[in-house]
Formats: sequence, structure tokens, C-alpha cells
Amino acid sequence: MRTVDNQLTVRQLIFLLISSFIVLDGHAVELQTQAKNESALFKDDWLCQKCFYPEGWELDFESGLAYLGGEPYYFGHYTGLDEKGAHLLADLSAEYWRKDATFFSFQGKNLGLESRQFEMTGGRQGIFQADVFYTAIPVRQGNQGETPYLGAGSDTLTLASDWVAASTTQDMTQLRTSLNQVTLDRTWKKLGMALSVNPWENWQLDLQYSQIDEQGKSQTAGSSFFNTAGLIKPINGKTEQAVLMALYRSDAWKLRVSYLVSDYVNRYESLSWQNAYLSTSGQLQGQQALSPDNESHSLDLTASWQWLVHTRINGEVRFGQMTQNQPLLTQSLAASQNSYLSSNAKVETFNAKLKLSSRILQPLNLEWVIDFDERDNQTPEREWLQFENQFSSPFYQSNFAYDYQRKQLAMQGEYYTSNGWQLLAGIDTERFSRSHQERRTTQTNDLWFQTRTQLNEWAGIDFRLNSESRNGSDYQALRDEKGVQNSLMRKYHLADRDQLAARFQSMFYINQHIDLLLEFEHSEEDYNASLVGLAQVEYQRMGADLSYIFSDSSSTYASYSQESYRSIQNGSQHFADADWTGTARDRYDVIALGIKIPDWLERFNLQLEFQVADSKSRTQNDTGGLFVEFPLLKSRWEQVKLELEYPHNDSWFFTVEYRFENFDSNDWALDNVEVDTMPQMIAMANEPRHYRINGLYLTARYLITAESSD
Amino acid sequence: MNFYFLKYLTGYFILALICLSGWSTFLFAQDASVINENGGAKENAEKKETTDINKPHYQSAGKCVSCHNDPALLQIFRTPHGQGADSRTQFAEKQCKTCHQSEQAHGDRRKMTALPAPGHQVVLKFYRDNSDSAKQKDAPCLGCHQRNSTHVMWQDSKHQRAEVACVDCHQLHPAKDPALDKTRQFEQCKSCHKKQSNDFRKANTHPVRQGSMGCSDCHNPHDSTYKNALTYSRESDLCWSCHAALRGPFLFEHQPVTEKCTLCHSAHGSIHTGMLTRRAPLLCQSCHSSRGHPSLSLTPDSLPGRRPSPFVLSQSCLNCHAQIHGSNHSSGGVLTH
Repeated sequence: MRTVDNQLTVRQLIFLLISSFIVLDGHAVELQTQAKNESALFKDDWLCQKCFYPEGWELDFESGLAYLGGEPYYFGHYTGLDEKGAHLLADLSAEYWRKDATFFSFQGKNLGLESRQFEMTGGRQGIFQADVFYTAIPVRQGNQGETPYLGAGSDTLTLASDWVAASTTQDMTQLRTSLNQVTLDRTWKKLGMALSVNPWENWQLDLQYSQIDEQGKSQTAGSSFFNTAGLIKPINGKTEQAVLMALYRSDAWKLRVSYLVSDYVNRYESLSWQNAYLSTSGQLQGQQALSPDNESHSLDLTASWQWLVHTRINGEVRFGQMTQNQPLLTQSLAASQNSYLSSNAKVETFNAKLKLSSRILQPLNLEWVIDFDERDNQTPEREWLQFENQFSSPFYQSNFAYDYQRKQLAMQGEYYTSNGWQLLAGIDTERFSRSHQERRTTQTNDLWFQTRTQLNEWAGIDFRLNSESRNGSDYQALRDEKGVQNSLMRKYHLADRDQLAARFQSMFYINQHIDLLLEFEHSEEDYNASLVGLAQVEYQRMGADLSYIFSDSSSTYASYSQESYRSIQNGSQHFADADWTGTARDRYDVIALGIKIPDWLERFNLQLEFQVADSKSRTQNDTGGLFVEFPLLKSRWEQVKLELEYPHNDSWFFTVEYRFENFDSNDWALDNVEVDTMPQMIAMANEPRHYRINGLYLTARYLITAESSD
Repeated sequence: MNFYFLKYLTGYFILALICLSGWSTFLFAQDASVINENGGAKENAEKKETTDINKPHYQSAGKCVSCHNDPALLQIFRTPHGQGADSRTQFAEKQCKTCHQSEQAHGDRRKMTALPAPGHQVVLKFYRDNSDSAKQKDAPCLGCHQRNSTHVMWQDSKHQRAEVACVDCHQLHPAKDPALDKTRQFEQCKSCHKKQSNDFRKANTHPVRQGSMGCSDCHNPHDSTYKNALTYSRESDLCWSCHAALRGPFLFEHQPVTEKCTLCHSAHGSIHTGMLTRRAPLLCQSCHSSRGHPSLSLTPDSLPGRRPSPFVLSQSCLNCHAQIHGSNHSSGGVLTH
């Protein structure tokens, strides 16, 4: 395990913020005095006597308890509320104003939970601003998993000392008795600061720094060709990122230069595990490389120029570099080693974009865009001896340095008719070149048309139609020592494709109080030259949203949406013509209803919400006329939320919230899969996700308001 | 890098610009008054005239507040716009009338006319059936905010083209504009982006509905440069800004990963595990069918109780090819190590 130095802590960041604040505040006084003398815009005698200019501190503190019943583990995914019982809720907002526009604010949410976040901002408005921010996101991926391995969360997984290796899971006599329950949890934390200064007129300088720490456990697998095992890998990485940006703006010009550097350090370089299977060659351990340390730099120049009366040019050039040179792991099999110590991986990227927009005639606007994007992978391509397992002979395989180059030219016109129709049409052409792919270049042409208008006072429509076609160069066999691809296979991002898409949206303002939105979307993708691979995709969505505003601030809404997706693909079991067809049909329905009455019984603020999201997925397979269907994959999420707020006076507010949430899912890939269900795999035995919670949230909010300065 | 294409296109555009320049200058040379359609130039021109503080309209807020004294409206003094000491704000100058109808125009309460008061270009009323155009509504905002670093490319952006006005998303009077609050921003964006809003109710999503991420963490609604108004020019750079562990470059790469994450993942949410667009093994079999490892027809026979197969169960193809985003192991050629 490697150690990482120079980590910034919250305390250090706050210290930095305060130091910056003190230094810049002095500078700000000087600048502001100068500004006042120059413009003399703000005078005390302008002040509105009846206006409320707060001065001093304001505090808004909300605290309470949430009580959760039921099975809340997966409810804690992203919320941190993953255990039954009481949880502390605390939100705090503190603000400070001074008459000279000096300000400080602290906004904290979920401070008592693992999903806490806060932001502190201070500065003198118009002169400088400094921020410190923090966000934590808890990730809950499973608490039911079982594994015979010990040491979950570390980089070495071992088996019980009395483990007897066997060829299949059924023959592993100690498997059932040596199981350990594991949770797959991790936390993602981001801490950062930003400083923005306006040092001179028309200039802005920004400096941002952030670090992301991710720690916990995640699922992976370790295979040795015939056998495999579900494993737990440690997550313990840190990303530091800094951005320096300078902006100059005038009435005609805007120029922005930014430099970004990002550095990722993984505290673990590999995961090793004891081989649970019988090994004839004496292979007792497996090893997997974890994400390597890497860094990325980019320099970005952006400009916007109001060139002529009605002509504007926007452009951007970006140079990037990504490098990774972590020492490679030694081979886990006792065999001759590859002679290179590291991959010396390096990728350079270049992106240039130019956009010209011109309203050459008053109702007509034309736009041209050229976009160039290149990934130049300069990693040396070498032959690497591959040791897959104890049964197969080592073989050589090259690492491929994947490059690509994308060139795009887009043109569009926009025309306003005298009776209020907006007509848009355009053509996009994209040419994509890739290295080490069966097809070197593809060309995509997209022709589209759109119109929108407000038909009358109560109805508006928006309609868009796209027709896209993609073709490309001839297919060629790839240099690949390990496995030659079926020559009939057409990868879906390279294959010839015709696509037709239509979208229609209509908004009805039925009267002063009622709005209705209707939406319909349909698209079809036809991979007509793909004998093996994805053949057809169809997507459809329809939705309706109704809202009714029945007083100045009270409203109710209802919405329904349905999405369906169908894909058909062909495969070949015999490395020849297609001999099976797989069809996947997904459907997703959402219903949401809600009502909001801020002055219910002239005393309460009432909010009631009900939502259901239901998904189903069918997978069917047709092999030579034998038609079979997998069990239905489904998930359903239901939520009922009732919130009642009682404003006792100007300072005290009391809230009661009841929340019911239920999530249930069925997944044939996980249902009834035990550790030894598969002879060649020690499974983790994770169950499909489900949770059901009844939550009662009681909070009291106290507000201290500042005095008016005038 | 091959600059041939760039040179060719640059030449083409210079030629086009010269032609347009001549044409536009000819057509609009006399129309100097509309030099800036968004009002920025006019705002600046007006600013230069505002040093005479005795003009009555600079002391207007007192009059407004005497009637419009709803506490919700007066929250504006807790916002950056209400800070008179900042010479760029409304309250350093025309106060309420920077954005709203002047008193001359609405002196008669029976007529909430939209006609401009003499000498005033900015005449707005921000209520529900407001028929003013987005351009009219945006003029007072863009006079200042078009100069922000995040608004450099506002003109010609998707939202600007779709006539989305600043006030369609932003609220000036509340102490905290919901559109600027990451935990509440989603509520704002979903009023138009229904599909994306529904995606975040799916079983596998980013934590947007829970308030830990905001739409603006990935999108800049004010910018026009990048596809889908993303905050990075290259989609994968955006994903790697949080998922740097997957950035590599790896010794053995998986080609689609180097190109675009959304070839396999749905960024807003998916009904399938891992936010995948489709489910393994079918997703993987859309591209892979090689000698020695054929594209098997996988059926329910592979489920528990029959002949359970690691090709289908648990993590399917990832049961072996666990390093699907790339491997830095010298034996990682097939992304297993």
C-alpha cells in the first residue's frame, strides 16, 4: 500500500479561505474606493427609506430527527439513511452582510448524515469572491453478499487456513462453512475551493482547486480462464484537480484562457487473491491491476467576437495530454517476464471548434460550425507475453494505441416568418477515423428540420425531424493474436446505419390556471448491413403533464410518461453466418401526482406527492426457430410524501414529513444465485435490490434575521 | 497531428467571412443603433449617462416598495442584486426599474401596458402570461451577465435559440435562486426536460434527485460551444473529472472507452445495472464474436436450477473480463487481469 502526502484537510482549506479573504479584503477596499471615486454611482441619499438592507448576521437553523422503519439499506444509497431507527437531521444557513457589499455565507445540508454537504462563500461583491465547498456521496451496492475470502477492503484476499481447493464449487467442502458476509459500500467525497477576483476593469481571474477522495469496497472478479470468483476490490483513490482561468471581456470581445491539471493517485496498485481452485501447475495466487496513477493537463482558449453588426464568431482551441507510467505488476505465474517495466502511456488530444453565426437578413440566421477532435495515442505498441492460466500456453499480444480523429462540419439556418413561425433546418457531416478497428473511417450525414411556433394565445408546438445515415470504408481483418473477429460482425458504433427520428411537443395554456404539455418521440435505427451484431433499434416515448394553479401560490399537477425500447441483434455460435437472434424489449412508465398549498387553513404549508416508476425488460432468444424467453426483469419504485409546515411566527417553523418509499426488483442474473450455484464460479450471491421505508421527519427551524442598515 | 484538414477549413472560412463581411456591411452599415441585439451595448451607453443621480427614476425603489411590500419580493435585498454598494447592480442605479416597468408606464393601475415609457428601452413585467419576447426579457440581465465567465457563449446557445429567457429559469427576488442551488436545481430544469427528469427516477442513476449533484455539474445551460451544453468539449473528459480512476491511459485499452462513455452507459439513468444502455451479455455481443470465444446463444437454460452459467448470471461477461475499462497488467490483453 502506498501513502499519499500533502493532502489538504477541511481545516487547512478554511484557513486558506480566511487568509485569502483578509489579503483580498485589503485589496478590495482600495479597489472599491477607487471605483467609487471614478463612478460615484452609489450614494447614501439614494437609499430607499422603505427598503430593507440587511446588515449583520442572519441564521437559519433547521434540526430534527428522522425515524426510519422497514428495510432501509438501499434507501441509504446516495442519502446515507441506511439504518433503521433515528437519524439526526441538521441544516444550517448563516449569512453576513455589510453595507459595503462585504458578505459571508455558509450553507450546510444533511450535516448529521453521511450525505452532508456545505458551501462557504465570502468576499466583497464585485471585487472578489472565495468559496470552500464539500460534498459527500454514500454509495450502497449491497449488504447481502457472501464470500469465502477474508480481508475484504484490503489488497490481499485469503482463504481460511483449512481451505481445500477443488475443481468445482460443488467439490469445495469448506465453501459453505467459511462464508463471510460483506457490504459493498463506499463514500465519494469532494472538497474544494475557488477564488474569483476582478483585478481590473473587464478582467476576471478564477482559481479552483478540488480533491475527490473515494474509499470503500466494490465488486470485481478474478478469473483464470476456466474458473472465476466474485471478489471485492478496495477503493481508495484520490483525484486532485486545479483550474486557473483568466477572462477578458469587452463589448465586442470575450477571451477566456484556462489551464486544467488533474492528478489521480490510487493507494492500492493491485488486488491479489488466493486461488480457491485446484491448480495442476501450482498457481496459488491471482493478481489484478487496479486503476493506475495518472495525470491529465489541458489548455483551453475560448473566444467570442461580435465581428460585424449581425455576425458573431465563437471559437475554441484545446490542447490536452494524459499520461500514465505506473510500474507494471510482476507476473503472477511462474514464467519468463515481459521485459518492460511500465507502459509509458501517453495520449495527446487536440480539439478546435469554430462557430460563425450571422443574421444576414433580419428574419434569417445562418450558422456554420467546424469541429476537429483528435486523440493521438503515443503509447509504445509492444508485444506482451500473456499468461492467462495454468492450462493454456502463454501467447503474445500487442497493446493497441487507439487513436481517433473526428471532423465535423455543420450548417444550419433559422428563419422567422412574419406570422411567428420559427423554421430551422440543418445538415451535419461527421467523418470519424479510428486506428486498430475493422473499419478505419465512418461518415455520418444528418439532415434535420425543426419548427416551433406559438399558434395562438393558448397553444404552441415544437416539431423536429431527423434523418441520419452512416456508412464508411471497407472492413478489414485486424491484427490480433488472441482471437480473430467474425468477419460478419458489425460493431454498432462503426456499422452502416440509417436513423429516422421525430419529436413532437405541444403546450396548451388552456386558461389562466391550466397548462397541458403533450410530448411524443419516436426513433428507429436500422443496421441493414449487419449480418452479425446489432440489427435494429426502436425507441418511443410519450408523455402528458397537466398543471392547475388554483390560487396565487397553490397548485397541483399530474404527469404520465411511457418509454419503450426494442433492440434486435444477431449472433453466430459457429463463427459463421448468424444462427440466433436476441430481442430485448424495455418499457418504463412513470406516474407523478402532487399538490402544493402554501396557506392551507391559513396556517400550514402543505405539500403532497405521489410517484411511481415502473420498469420491465423482456429478453427473448430465437435459435434456429427455437423461441425462448428469459424471466421478466422488473423494478418498481413508489413514493408517497406528505409535508406539513407550521410557521409559528417569524422565527420558528415546525415541519412534519411522512415519507413512504418502496423499491422492489427482480433480476434473473441474481435471483437464486448462491455462492456455489455455478460450478466454475464462486458467486458473491448478491440479491436484487429492494427497500421499503416508512420515514417520519420532525424538524424545527429557527430563523434569526439581520437588522436593516437604514 | 495532421493539420491539413484544419488548414483547408480555415481557408474556406476566411473566404466565407470576407464575403459575409462585405454583404453585411453593405446591408447594415446604416443600422448602427442595433449594434448589439441583446441590449448590452445600450445598457453600457445608458450607464454612462447615469451619473446624474438627481434624475427621479434613480430613486424609485421607495415608491415601489410602499405598495409592493410583500416580504417575498423584499428578499431581493438578501441577494447579490440588492447590494447597492456594488456599482454593477440594479440597486446602485435604477433600482426596481432596471427590470420592471417604469412608473410612467404603469401609473394607471388599470392599464398594465407593455409599451415603453418615453426614454426607456427596458419595459418588462414578469408574470405568467407575459407576452414579451425572450430578447426583451433578457435585455436587462445580459447587460451585465453576458460578461460572466460562464456566459461567454450565451449568444447562439441552445437555450437562447429556443427563446428561453433568463427569468424562465432564474428568480431574482428569493434570497436563494433555486436555479443556482445544486440541491434544488433539478426541480427547475425538469419543468422542461421531462425525459431527463424521468430518467432520474430509474433504478440506476447519478444522485441528482437526491440533491448531491446538480444538472450544472455536467451542463452549462448558458454555453453554446459543446454538444448538449456539456461543461467539457469531450464527453469522456467530463466523466473522468469525477471518475479519474477510469481515465488511464491504460496499457490495454477497450476502444469504445477511449471514444465515448455513452456508447455503453446512459448518463441520466437506466433501468439496467451499471447505468448500461442494454444488458450484458447482449450489449457485449453487439461488438464481440471472435474465434475461440464465439457469440453463444444464451438462453434461460443458463439460469439456476438448470445449467447455471457464468456467461449469463451474476455480472455476465464481467465475471471474467472485469477490467472492462482497461487493464494495466502486462497480461491484461483480454481485460481479465
